[in-house]
Amino acid sequence: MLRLTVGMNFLRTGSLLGAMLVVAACGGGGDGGGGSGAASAPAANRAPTANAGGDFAALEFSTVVLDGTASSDPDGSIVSFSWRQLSGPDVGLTGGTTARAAFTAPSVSGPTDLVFELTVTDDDGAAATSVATVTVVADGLVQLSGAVTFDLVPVGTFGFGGAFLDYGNTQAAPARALAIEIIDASDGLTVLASGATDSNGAYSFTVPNFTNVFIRARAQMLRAGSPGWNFQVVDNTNGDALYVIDGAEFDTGGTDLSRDLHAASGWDGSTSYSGPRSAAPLAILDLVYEAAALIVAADPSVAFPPLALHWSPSNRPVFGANGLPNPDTGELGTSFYRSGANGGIFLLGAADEDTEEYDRHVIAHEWGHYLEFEFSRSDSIGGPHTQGDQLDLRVAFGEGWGNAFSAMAAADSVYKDTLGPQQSSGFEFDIEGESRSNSGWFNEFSIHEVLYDIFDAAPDTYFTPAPVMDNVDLGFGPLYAVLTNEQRTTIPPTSVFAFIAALKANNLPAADGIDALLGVHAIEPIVDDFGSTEDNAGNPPSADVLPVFKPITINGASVNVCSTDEFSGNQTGSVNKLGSRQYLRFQTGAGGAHTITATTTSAPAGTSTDPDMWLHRAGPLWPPANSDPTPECTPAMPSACSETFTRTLDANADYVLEIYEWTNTNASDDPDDPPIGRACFEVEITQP
Amino acid sequence: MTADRIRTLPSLLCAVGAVSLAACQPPDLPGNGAKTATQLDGPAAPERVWESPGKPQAPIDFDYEILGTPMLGQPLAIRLTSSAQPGPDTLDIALSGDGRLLVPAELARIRMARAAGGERSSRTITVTPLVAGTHYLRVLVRADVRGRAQARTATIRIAVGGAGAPPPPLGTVATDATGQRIISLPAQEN
Repeated sequence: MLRLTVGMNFLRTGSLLGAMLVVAACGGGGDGGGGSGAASAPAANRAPTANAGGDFAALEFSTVVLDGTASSDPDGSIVSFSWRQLSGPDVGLTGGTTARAAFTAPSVSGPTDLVFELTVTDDDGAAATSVATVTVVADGLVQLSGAVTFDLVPVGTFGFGGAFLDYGNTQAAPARALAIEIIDASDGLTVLASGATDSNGAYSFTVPNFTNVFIRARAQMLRAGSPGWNFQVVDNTNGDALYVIDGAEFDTGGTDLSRDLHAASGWDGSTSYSGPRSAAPLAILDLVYEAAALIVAADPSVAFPPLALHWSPSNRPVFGANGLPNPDTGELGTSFYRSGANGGIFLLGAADEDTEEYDRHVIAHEWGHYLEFEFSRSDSIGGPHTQGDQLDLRVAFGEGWGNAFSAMAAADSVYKDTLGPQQSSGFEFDIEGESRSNSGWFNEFSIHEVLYDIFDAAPDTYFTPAPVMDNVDLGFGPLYAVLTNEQRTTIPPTSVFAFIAALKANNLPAADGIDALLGVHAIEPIVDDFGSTEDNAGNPPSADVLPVFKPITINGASVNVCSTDEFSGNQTGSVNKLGSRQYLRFQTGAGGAHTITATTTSAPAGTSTDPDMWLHRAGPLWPPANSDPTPECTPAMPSACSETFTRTLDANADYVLEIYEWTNTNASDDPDDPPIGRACFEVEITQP
Repeated sequence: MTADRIRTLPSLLCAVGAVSLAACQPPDLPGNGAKTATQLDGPAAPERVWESPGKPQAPIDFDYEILGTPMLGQPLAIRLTSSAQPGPDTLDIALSGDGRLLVPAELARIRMARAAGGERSSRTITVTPLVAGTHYLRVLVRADVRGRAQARTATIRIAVGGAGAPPPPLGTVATDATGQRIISLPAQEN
């Protein structure tokens, strides 16, 4: 702990400062008790001004310096100084006839005032006085409290669509559950006290008095125990350095004090960021606070796996030189979540291009993926997706969940994302009902609307295809329960079917209402994890889509399935679209080795196929069956284009086989192996 | 002629999606690199790393293709491609550079209409790198989709003569008492 000499260690609170000014005025006017010199001086002489240095506080046993050097004489010089004690415990002054007097502060049990008077005399014999009060305090602690706030820039919307950052309506928002440290300024390292702000952004610590410190707000929410969390915002372009917001150095003084910290956006008020964007990390954490609060309400003892949120002003919407995200350079391509030791949520931050710190839905969407991965299971294969896409069921659920969760966490059903020069452009869509094009179990928009209607209390009314009143209001708890239990262990790939089947089973009174909501989106009432009742074959309907999970029997008849690219749309290829991957379900009898074979039966003229397969049982099972075609596999000999693998399977267990034409999982403009289109395979499973 | 072919906007997600495929399922999934021979009851799957597809995007399709190798002081052609059906009829595109990349003034706002028959249409523009290093050409694409304004953004990476200087930190880089790397940003106080 640093303890400075008292002379440099004064404390001037507002009231003390006021008193000092009064004293100075009295001294200058010569009526402070020794002003007779001014009245009796020759007319040619002007009175001196005494200045005892003002009021301040000092620590017991410390050496206190009374400083009269600011005294002055307008028409000559000060020729003598005289200090005397007017009140308080007697102390022995040294240098009592000099400009600077000193004494040792006495032992005290509480704040004790010692009042001293300085008399100065000028070279014509005129005198003036000034008084200073020294408050001596015991060696100990003071209470340091205050609040931390940050600039929260709201997202505005236009009536005709679009979104923008509304800097004109920036609010100072409390930084909640934020890690706070009081740092000893003498070394800039030692943490004298630490804790977190409360739900109002307030903090309070007991810290050593008369110590030079600064306040540090770490861009971190940290709580050990139950519930527990460790969320932090780091700079991926600087070795994942943690952002901290540092206040200025100050002396804790001898009495309790309050200091507030504010992190500014850095926006210049008109056209650009001209200052440090200190608010950005705190704005990101503010959404995390809301998202985590949803979970804690549903699971009070939750222990969140640590999560780093990577943000940098250098994070741009462009990929690195290898066409993949490069966090080191900030070339992310987009905002995304990645699991693993070096993972976390990666957020764009480039001003005038795309920056996310105030795009709460974007942050929440990716936080929803973190939640899905860490607390549940996602079999999503990723890939491009946008409104109206008809997607592989795994992608549709994962993105539908992300969208719905973003609205829940942001407490705003209109998803918004700002971008472009001055963050003045963007887009938005209403989770409550933006688009009904291509509705179905394969559409992320259908799924996010169903999930959100189940969550929210708004009694929406739908009129197509038949009048439906949304009377389901389950809140977040039941959704969280399914996500963390049944959805995690479902046998087939994760989809809306497993999720809704469990949700209905757990909430029987709401089951009919949930089925009604599904009907709004052309999804049949869900009765099991396999979508057995589904009759929506896509738009336009495809003969290859249904059943969603086609049955096959071990040592039974072979089953013909076709991988298609007909739902690839105009823009995003077929990598993750409906129909490109087909699913077969089967149940084993006796355990042991099973051989699975897929043989090509048809393909577009002039093409040769490459069937590949994955086995699933509560997640994909390693390894895949994805060997290269043999030389005999040619357009003229499709039956030579096949894939076979043998795997030891459990007894009396359900499995799902995923099969697809390899090229149909490539982008539509893949320069080397573009999708060939509809390819059909005869599949059989045998057990010796 | 094509030295660097990059799809953007939906393909921003394509590339991420490629990683997703490798992550959500083990990394040599077909479509993501060299295929391997079928293994029978092989070793346990590698550590599962999963990556989300990326944030939702506006339903606007827009591609670009860099035609040729970026060279200092030499005009560089970039082909912009608009969406086909069922995308918007027109795209309003604004391009801007960073001052070290010469972007003709007329590119501050251009409009691309869908070609006859609903096919994609293209337009080739040129920009000129004025200094060596990595430049970023900012692209803002706006369109009206089903009666609502939508916008997407993309940044085109143009590298001339290798990578430039690393990006400057937002604040002061240091380490705290635990050795953790930190970036100090200023606060306002009262």
